[in-house]
Amino acid sequence: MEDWASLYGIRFHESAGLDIVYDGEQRRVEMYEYPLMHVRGFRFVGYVKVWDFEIFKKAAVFDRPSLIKPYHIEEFEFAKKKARRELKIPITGPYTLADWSFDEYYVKRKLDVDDPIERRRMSKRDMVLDLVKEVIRPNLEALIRVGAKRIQIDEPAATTKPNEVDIFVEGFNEAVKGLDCIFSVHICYSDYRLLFPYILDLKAEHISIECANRDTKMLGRDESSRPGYSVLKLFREYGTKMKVAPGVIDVHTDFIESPELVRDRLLYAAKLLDDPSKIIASNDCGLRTRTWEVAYEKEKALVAGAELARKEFE
Amino acid sequence: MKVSGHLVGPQPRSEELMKVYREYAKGKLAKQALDEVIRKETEENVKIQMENDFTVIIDGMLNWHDLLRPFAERLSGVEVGGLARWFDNNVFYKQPVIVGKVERTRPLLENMIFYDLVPPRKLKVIVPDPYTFSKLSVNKSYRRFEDLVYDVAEAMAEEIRVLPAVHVQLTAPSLVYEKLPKDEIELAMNAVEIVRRKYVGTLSIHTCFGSVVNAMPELLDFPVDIIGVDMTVTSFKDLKDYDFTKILGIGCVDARNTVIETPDEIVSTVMRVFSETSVKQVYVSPSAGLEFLPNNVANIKIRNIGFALKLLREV
Repeated sequence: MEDWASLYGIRFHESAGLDIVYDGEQRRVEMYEYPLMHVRGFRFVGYVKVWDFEIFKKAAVFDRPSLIKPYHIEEFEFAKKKARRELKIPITGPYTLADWSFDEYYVKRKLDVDDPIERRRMSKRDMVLDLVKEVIRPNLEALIRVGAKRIQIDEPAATTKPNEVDIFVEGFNEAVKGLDCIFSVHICYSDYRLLFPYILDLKAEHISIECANRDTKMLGRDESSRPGYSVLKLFREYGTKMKVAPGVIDVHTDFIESPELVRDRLLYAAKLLDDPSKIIASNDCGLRTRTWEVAYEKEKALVAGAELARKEFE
Repeated sequence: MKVSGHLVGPQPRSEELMKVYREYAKGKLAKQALDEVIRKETEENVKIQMENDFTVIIDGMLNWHDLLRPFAERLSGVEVGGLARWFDNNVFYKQPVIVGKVERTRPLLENMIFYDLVPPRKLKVIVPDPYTFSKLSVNKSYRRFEDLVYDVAEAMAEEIRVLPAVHVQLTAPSLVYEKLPKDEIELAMNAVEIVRRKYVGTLSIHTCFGSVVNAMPELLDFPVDIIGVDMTVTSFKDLKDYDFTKILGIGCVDARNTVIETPDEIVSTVMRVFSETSVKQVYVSPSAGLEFLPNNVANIKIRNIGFALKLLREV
């Protein structure tokens, strides 16, 4: 059943026309719970609210984490056998795993630190770096050994605590240090201003961010039609070297973006970065809250819109 | 030495209530069935506070999706907007969008509080402070931010005036989340003054998710009876610098972590406050609403506050 679902996900993306595909994480329960099912040192303590009716099963770290076994190998090897296009594999990053967990271990080792904010920061850093060493790097190394060439590290929590953004960057860089692979980072529903200047040091090929959610549905390539993309000005101002994958598809509505709207979003983003070669067309985030039918129409619009945008530069 | 206890924010929904809410959202469950579960769990929330001899009792706010929502939905001139992060938490709220003059044209908390389940002389109601509500809103209407804050304050004051509550808490994370300019803190204080003029009961302000130092010393002059401090992000040494003439709310039980503070540890923190600061009277509480924790962990924390209160009252 899992193989069938995985194959469906791969063909779904290929059929829509995407250049880089994956299986839509069909084998995973969820981006936080699934990895921690394969890590010692955590125990699930119950469900907590994220907003309104949305909840997640939250764990507490009670001991130094250690990996039971790399948890995306089966998924990747199957996808590698079946994919007809370039393949990527997403993995939840160390900062997000740490930030979304209760801390019953690291904070107790810092009780001598009087300042509670500094105590929390130091505990978090220790936890992130342990997760990098014991969990994330072994996973990345194992994926690369079986042929992964492109890995996306998901870090939606990166800006949750403004005074810890540097810890996210340090964790990311430690995780990928010296590894032969293309790494990208995905950060959604965040205050991207907080990433600066730390993000300048991030060793990623590109950063994927959510923008369509903050944008209008009007056609146009100016500031008033494209408020969702204003953050790209910061990337230019700071001289960020990474490519940027601004979300041009809103994953939280059933509204099907037209190819022309996707085109205008991409062209406006390219204008703000002043370099179209640094723009990658992407969704805001995963489409798991949509139906397959809606998701497919959205992905087709993404591909068609990117093609329209490319034509402008021919 | 006078010690009381209270809760300072929403209680977590149980797994059963979360499930029921999700089924209701999907149209698989009738509103009446949802209401029955909310009511049952509200009774349990009231019971555990009563059993642990809390001085005032909240109903648990289980039917509030976020602290701002009833006001965003019911204030005239305000609409419910998109999701935004609730301070530095992996929790999101729907941003109020200010689209016109903010006014209270109807009761704001009607059917939001289970008045019949809380003993009348014990009822505490929690609302956002006018500055925090305004700061967290998307202002598309007011040319001057202070005019928005004052209109929100007038609307909230009118609502609070008619509440049958002996204690109203203004939750004010925006006052301490980062260091504010002095004129912003004064604006927040003036807004609280508008509320104070219309409410004769106990009025408290609870700061959370940031060190109280960010609003000091101006916070000491706010026209409230109790100033609540999030001790999980405020250093002890910072409290020593100020002369407290008001009651101090000690948020020393971490609402955002599952490490359990023992009654002895809670007592020790409170005793340290009395011995090292000028504080004469305290309210012991969690650092914020316990909504960030699983329900069973929250209940353990409440019971430990109860044990600590018992020990402290024997001193």
